[in-house]
Amino acid sequence: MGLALLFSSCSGFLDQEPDSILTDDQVFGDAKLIKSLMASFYGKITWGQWTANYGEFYRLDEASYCDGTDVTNSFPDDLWRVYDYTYIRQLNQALNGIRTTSALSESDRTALEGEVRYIRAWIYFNMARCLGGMPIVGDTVFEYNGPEDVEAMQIARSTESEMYDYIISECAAAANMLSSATNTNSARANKWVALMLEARAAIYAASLANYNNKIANPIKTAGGEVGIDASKANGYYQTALAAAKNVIENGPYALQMDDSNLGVNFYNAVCIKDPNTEVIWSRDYIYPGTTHGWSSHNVAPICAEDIDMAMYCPNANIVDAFEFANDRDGKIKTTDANGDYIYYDSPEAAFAGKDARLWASVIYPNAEYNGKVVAQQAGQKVYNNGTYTTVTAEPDTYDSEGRLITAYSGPVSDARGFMGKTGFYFRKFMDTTVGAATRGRGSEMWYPYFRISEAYLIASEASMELGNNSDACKYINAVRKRAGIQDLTTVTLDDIIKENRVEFAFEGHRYYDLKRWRVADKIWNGVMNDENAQQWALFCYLVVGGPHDGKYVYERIPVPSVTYPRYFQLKNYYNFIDDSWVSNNPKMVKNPYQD
Amino acid sequence: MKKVLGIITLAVVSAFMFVSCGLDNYDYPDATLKVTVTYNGQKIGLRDGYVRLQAYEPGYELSNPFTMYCNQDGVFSASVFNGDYYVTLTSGNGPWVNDEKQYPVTVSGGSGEATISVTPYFTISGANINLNGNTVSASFTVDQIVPDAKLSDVMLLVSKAAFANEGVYIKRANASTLTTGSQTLTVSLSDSDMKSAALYGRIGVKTAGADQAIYSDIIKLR
Repeated sequence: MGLALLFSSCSGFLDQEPDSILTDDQVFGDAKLIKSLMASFYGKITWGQWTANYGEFYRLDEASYCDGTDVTNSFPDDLWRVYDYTYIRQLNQALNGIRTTSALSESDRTALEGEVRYIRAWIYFNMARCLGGMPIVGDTVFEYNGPEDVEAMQIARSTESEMYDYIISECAAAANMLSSATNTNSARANKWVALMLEARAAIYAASLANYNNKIANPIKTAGGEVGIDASKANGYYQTALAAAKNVIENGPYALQMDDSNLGVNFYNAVCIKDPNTEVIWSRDYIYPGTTHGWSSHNVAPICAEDIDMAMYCPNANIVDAFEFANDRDGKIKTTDANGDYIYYDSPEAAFAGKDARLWASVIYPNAEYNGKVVAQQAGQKVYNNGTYTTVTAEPDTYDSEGRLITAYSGPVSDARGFMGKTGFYFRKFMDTTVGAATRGRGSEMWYPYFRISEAYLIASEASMELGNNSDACKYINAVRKRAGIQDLTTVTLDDIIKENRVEFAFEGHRYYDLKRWRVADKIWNGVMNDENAQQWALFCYLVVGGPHDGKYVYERIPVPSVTYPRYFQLKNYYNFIDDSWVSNNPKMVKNPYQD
Repeated sequence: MKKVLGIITLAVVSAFMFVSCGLDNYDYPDATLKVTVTYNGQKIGLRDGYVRLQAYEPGYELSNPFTMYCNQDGVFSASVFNGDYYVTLTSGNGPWVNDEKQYPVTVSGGSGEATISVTPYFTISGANINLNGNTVSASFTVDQIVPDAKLSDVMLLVSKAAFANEGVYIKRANASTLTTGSQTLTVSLSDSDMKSAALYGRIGVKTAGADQAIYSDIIKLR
């Protein structure tokens, strides 16, 4: 009897439906669940540098680590590496479900299919720019039922050009399925988003085909997983130009211009969600729910709302990159031809006449932010018999005559945390909403993936490379005009590099741009105190005594918290293929310089 | 009695707590694997930390390689367990022609050494660097070893410490015309450079398309 009881069970107890797992049929049978599935896809779509991942911006030549000492001396072999076939499988599952669901109308099904295929192309694109050609799995949803299934999953890497071709054709297909209307905060893909990715993928492929073959020893593998034939460059440039022109001429977006001054206008174009005609696709954040810590971690101490502040600061490298309105060399002048200081009437006078985008991107000494003047003064230069002695003090210290020695927000030249060491703070993506710089609330500032100005710069670059310099000028000058800087009459690759750098400062473009033009190893050459490779600070001092009493001078020094210059080696053009991927898939060949 | 039992229980339990089964306690690797890269029996000068070799221990299902980094005298080392290893060069990295060979090396009794003979694109011979006043002058010969290799940089580096390479120096002079054979380079030091108690010089030669340069020995100037 007892034994019998032992082997019986209460009826149905173990056959309950799980209440935390939904089956495919349940998800794809309900329009609301499909929408929440889409939301989860958009939530894991960003890699590398973006505002919520604020700790990655110090690695290049735009910002510096100010919360201690940065001892980085090379780029990791897996830096910002994207390899996510789990995600691709989930998208393919969704694709199957959406194609067969009866919960949606046919037009909704088409639009959603386009959206899923766009997201999949975006992942492939992120993989391609990290790793080169990678396995393309199509729409297949792989199932594992036993070891005999493994071989079908071991797919060889595609060539780099096949990878870009696939991304371009998927984007073109998605563009035809997606709505051409805009949506709230540009958070979801539409037709124009797909066309922008088509343009960006094509310009990447074009410049890889072009510039890789112009370096001394082109980076390639025997099977073409890395390396695109030079003959394909023109075709890709044409694809990029056509897609970018389509967005410029037919899309609902425009280079945003409002009535405010050019600096405020550019900040509004990049950072204010509504009204906005600039941003085509963004990662959106909303409180309560999803916020990020860009504002709280990077805010200038004088404007801080919480215990975090000043962990990362823009450096003089990016400040110098912004041109003066009438001088293409934007380097802030610190000394004259004789090596004597240049004396400025005010700290901000050194930045007068700069590209308006500088004001919108960076808080320089004495610039206004959120109703406060952000003073940044490292110390005093005290005059004594023809020479100057440097006097510094703790932040927020005044001398006996009430004159500022070191400002509340620094900069300082030691290794302390939470204090600026470059002479600058971020403005781009900083959120002035009350509470946005606290840990508890966070910021709902969006992070744009595509802006209309990128379409202009892609069109300019492609026109230039295709030999149409007048169009190249037309497109780049539209972007420069909005920044209040002079028109160009010819466009070179160097102009394109410079314009992209300042237009998209802190927007995650620069690393991949320098890679595709194959100039990263020349700019970040690892040489100590090199103009580009070293991260530089610009320290402001008040002159006390002597003939220039009350004026301000600047000194350019290596950022005190940064030990080494940036050193980009040839091996860094492509991330390494992980050994575990090769163990799982012996067909996976490794990248150049890897072994 | 209860109390005594409790104490005994506690003692027994804690005795178990401090015993481990040994299965999860591996020794740390205490043997040294050392590989020297040479050409014609001579060591090759490198930038320390930036040239890599890979080594692996065969016989396991997953024999993932590990990376060994050089010092500036061209010696690579790693802490390993005793065993049989294979060492391979890394393509495009060092200033030499890559080969696909696997070099066996046995580590036993706490150490194992191997020498790999490579073919550099260029070599530097007869390097002579002097300090006269505040001028550093160098004479040396660049020998072409691989016929189709092209020079991209020939440089004289001056450093305050016994380390000098493309990234670490206080003064650098580049050859204005790139040529092989006997040549000289000079660079003048500033007053603040001259205050340094020690000064060192080194010649570097870089091949177009190679990631890393080949260097002469480091020469103490004072």
